[in-house]
Amino acid sequence: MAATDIRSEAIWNILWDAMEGSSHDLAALKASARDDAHFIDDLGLDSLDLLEFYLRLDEAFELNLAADDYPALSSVQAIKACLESGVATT
Amino acid sequence: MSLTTLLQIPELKQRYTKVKKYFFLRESAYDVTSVCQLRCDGCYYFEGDKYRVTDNRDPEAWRHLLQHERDRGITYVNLAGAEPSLVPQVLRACHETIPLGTVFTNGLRKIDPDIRYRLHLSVWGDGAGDPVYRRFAGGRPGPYCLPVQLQNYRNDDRVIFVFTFNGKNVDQVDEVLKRVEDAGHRITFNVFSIPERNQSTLGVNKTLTGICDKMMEAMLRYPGTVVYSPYSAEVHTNADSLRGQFGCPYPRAASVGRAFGMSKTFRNYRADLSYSAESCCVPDTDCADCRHYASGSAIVTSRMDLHIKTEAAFRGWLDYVDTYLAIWVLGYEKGANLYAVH
Repeated sequence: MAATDIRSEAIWNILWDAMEGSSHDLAALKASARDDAHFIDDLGLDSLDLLEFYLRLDEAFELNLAADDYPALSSVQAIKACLESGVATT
Repeated sequence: MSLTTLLQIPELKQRYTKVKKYFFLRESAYDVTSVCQLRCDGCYYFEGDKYRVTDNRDPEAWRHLLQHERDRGITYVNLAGAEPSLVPQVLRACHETIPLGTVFTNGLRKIDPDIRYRLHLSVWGDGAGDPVYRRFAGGRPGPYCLPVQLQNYRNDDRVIFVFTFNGKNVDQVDEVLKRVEDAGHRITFNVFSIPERNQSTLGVNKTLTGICDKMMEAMLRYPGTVVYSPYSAEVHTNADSLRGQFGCPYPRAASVGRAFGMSKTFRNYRADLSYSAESCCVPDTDCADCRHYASGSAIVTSRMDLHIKTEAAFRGWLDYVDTYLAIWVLGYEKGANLYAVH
């Protein structure tokens, strides 16, 4: 598996951890998981679920994210690009 | 601290798991009529020009609007001003389309029992204060609303009373608490938030400490009746407004490009079904004085990220969300408060 795939899988796993106990059908979400899927428009995630995800992501990758960064981190693909740039978006 | 560290504490994990099931609530607000029997001092509804519309009272038009809202992802409706109980067929059409929500009412006219929304009955003072702060639309002193509300809604599980503290009525809550408890109902608190350009003398800036003390006292004296938390009291009586403490997620104040959370989805519809892109749940309220319970439910809840730096802060946030859900979701039971006053 390429390094980028490992990173993608790590991001998805953080998302699934964040979605545990939410009202969403986790199996259905996993079935529609694509790196370019928009978290809100395509997966229908709620803002507090996403907030938990960003907090977990921040902790796992030591990103030091601010609330203004969240809208740009709208897909796994966008997050990977952010990680590969080495810095958060602001 | 971090979120994952905090969630290793069993009682915090348990409470977080409880509230997390409701993260799917996605709200908008709807003024279902521009008519009200009362004119309350400082009522934000009759500020600005949003009441200068021609009501659309066609239930099918409302049903169509809410179907569209449901398709847009809205799962929770706030049906508000002027006085929703005056348009029962509109309420019914809304309830048949999106069944989760709250109706904000003065309680003078009973809403049909099969409309299973949460009902927030507003209380502005005791027998002396209420008629002064709330006048009939023609200008005469208003009725003491509480006895009428209690009569209309005896044993009605949809109801929670909302006492709005203002700069002059702090001790009037005593009579209200007693009567609400005697009737077996529950009550929560709001803090008067002055509208822009309004000359009301009910502002709270000089009485915030007294209001906070009274809220704390009420929670101790009426633990089974008062639905509130010490952290809620602290943030709603802080010298800084809610926006000053936490920022604001509503489109009116959005700082994040309207791409995330409420800034993207929230709308406030007027009684003619139009809506403003610059909306919030208490339009025309002065943001610098906004301590409103409805706006706080969104503002504080949306800022979990500001509440994970210490265990105490996270406890406060959990209490706040637990309280918010108990106030807004019919059938949700609040747990014991986790946050200790400092």
